[in-house]
Amino acid sequence: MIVNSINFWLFFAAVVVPYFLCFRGQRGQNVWLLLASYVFYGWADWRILPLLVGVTAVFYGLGLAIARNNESNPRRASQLTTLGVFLGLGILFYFKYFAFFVQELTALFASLGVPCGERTLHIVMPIGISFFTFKLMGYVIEVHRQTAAPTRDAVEFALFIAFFPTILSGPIDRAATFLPQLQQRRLYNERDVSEGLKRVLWGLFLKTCIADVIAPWTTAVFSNYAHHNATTILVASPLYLIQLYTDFCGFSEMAIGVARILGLRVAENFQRPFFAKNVAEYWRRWHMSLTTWITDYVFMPLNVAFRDWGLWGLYAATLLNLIAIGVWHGANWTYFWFGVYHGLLLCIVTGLDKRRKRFEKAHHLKDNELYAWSRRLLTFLCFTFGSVLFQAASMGDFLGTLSRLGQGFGPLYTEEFSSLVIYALPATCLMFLREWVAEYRRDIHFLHSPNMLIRLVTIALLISFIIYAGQLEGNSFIYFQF
Amino acid sequence: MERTDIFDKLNEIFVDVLDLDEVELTDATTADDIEEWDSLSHVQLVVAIEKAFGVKFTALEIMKWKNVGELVDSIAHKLYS
Amino acid sequence: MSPRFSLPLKAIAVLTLVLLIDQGVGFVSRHIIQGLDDKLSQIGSIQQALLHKRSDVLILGASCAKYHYNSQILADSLHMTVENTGVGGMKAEYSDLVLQSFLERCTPRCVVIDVYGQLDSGEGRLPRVRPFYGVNLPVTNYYDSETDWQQRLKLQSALYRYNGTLDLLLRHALNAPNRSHGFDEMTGELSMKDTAVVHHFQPDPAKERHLRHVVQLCREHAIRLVFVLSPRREHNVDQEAWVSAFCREHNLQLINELHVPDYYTEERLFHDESHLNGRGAALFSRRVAERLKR
Repeated sequence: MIVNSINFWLFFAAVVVPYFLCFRGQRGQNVWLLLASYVFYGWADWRILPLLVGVTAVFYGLGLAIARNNESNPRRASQLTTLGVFLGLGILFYFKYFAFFVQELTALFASLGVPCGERTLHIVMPIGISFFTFKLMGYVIEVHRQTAAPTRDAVEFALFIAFFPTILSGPIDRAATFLPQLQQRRLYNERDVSEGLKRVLWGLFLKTCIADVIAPWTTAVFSNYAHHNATTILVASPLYLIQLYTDFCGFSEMAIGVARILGLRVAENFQRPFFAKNVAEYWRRWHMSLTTWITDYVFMPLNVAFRDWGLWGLYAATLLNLIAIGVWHGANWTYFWFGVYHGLLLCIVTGLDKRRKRFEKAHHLKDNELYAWSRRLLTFLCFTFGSVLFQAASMGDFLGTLSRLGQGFGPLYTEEFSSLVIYALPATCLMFLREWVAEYRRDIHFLHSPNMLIRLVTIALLISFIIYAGQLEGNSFIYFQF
Repeated sequence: MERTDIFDKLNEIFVDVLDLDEVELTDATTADDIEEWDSLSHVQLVVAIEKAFGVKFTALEIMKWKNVGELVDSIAHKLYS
Repeated sequence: MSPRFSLPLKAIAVLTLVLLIDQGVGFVSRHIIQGLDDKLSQIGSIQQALLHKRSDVLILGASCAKYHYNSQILADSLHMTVENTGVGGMKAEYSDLVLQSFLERCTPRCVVIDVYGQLDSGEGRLPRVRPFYGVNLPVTNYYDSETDWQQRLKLQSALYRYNGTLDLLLRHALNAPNRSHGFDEMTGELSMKDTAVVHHFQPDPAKERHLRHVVQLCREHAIRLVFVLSPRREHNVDQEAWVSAFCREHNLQLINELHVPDYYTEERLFHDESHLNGRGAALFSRRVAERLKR
């Protein structure tokens, strides 16, 4: 049951009507939403539901214990926090990485001549696990740092973890911003509902008219890279980055919109990353709920710990930080090297920062648009290269894809390419137009125009375009696998 | 050292590390108020502050400050105890 | 206007607008698609097969049908009219729908079905017949009886029925060749001396049902039905066995060209691993015509 299916909206209607009509206080609303969230999660994979409930209970207790010891017994509070972090990492490791390590170790031993039994582990990967374990770990860390107040209300806490719009694929919310919202009754609010619906519509547009139109073609290219020439690979790579962005940003918009209809604001996930002028800025605008999480809980502690090593400490922390982001996506060497690649890029950006500023001052480039756009293009290309690594099933596939670039140019692979040109191209232009307006001309509005007629016509045209040109078969999202 | 002295010294450090023209820190100033003050420069600031005041913070302290006021409290606390 | 009702009112306004656009796009698209001329494009082939064509010999199937059966050679050899209705990516439901549409207009004397791909699971290109919902009776019946309520609900929208057709219409208008009765000649050469053997074959129950329906229709109308296995690189042994058994069970003629060595000698008769090029198609069509004469 995913957000771009009719079933989801039937489910949502069944949730939202009693949610606003039947409950006099926030407690009833919270219980009702929690129930809906568990039904939703159980629908996706009921075998994991007990695990979700179990870890929620454990972390609920940990949060309270840490808060009790924070002042009276700081050592014990630290120990409990460490325990929570290790528990979260342990769950992640077992479900996500264990099979990979066993397989790699077996291969290593085999190559050393030590025979090992050929055994493949079949561990079910719980859907959404990378998202909810991060919420759990973030919670205990925040309680320990006293940047978030622990909650005594178990329902509140369980709802924070299992909130159905975000449990499968984020955004990864923070206790400090989410929990207080659960402590008051949410009233039906037309502004929230219409804003939420607009965001859902925009997300649906990104997903069905861009991501899913591009996907069949890029899949055909990259899964058969050995049959394609350099031209095709070079066209497919930036298209894949656009696909990845519209797929995940589309999902995030829908999740945020659904939550907004319920009167809840969840974390933002994207802020027009293609307008970033360097790699560091791109990472601040891309999958923001994950990158800020890792910045706060991985990068900052590392950076603080390494602070006396000067610039080298910063580089080390940056590299480890990006490796953590890479490996978060899954157990595969491609994600590891994806992290290393971006870590090195970030180190270069940081290292050249002062020189760049001096250069810009000397040549009066601060307001030069051509200079700004060439930086954006360069950043886009850096991420395009990274996304080829990101999508590869293995390092062998990645290197194989790269090797095609040396095989010479040729005619573009045009099977089914026409639908890309006719539907995805205008849709992508529209997306860039909207993002350009948001960056440069905040006075131009379509979906939020003060003129009601413009608003309504824009909405009607978007809906019509989605039905006429979008892929409406309810395809899954790339980030569901993480 | 009075709180005002700490503020004066901090203003200098901020201007120096963040490459600002000038800055007027108050108790309520946060990282949101100064564009150049991000997670990267935060640590550079800490290193400079530690050197200038001759103190050493714990990791937890560094990550707990919510505004400049709490930072100044931490410094004052270290200096007098 | 009290603010309490403003959102529902706006929603109604938006829906009305969408409905107007929907009906407008539907009206225009319907006229364009029904009026398409006889050229060889995907939407053109589907429109002709479902709405217009009639012939003595009807060829059903997917891409193998489209590329292998040279209608001209078959017609000259058999002295009958021949229509090739193969469309790449189509499966048994489509064959069933085309046969039913033909039967509304005429009774062919012979139906040839190129069986490769007919029993694979999945929708394939079938959604491309949605523009004919409400226009062509077999298509309408198919969606009304065999799909769930969600699909039927979506089909009430003209925008949805014509989803993805703009692309097809442009391709039809811009670069579709003349039709030559549905046969599309492939160029390019591939030597196919090394054939491979694969096993695994799992017929999809729904497709099998439609295939049986084709058999039943032909029996009812006393039409000769012939199954064909085209030559290709991968010899799927299990599929071949299944088709042979199916033909024996229903007492049907099977033309099995899979193992005929002529295709795999030095002559380079293939376009790719599963499709013959123009020369290969000529040889194939002559051989099939010979078998059909008997």
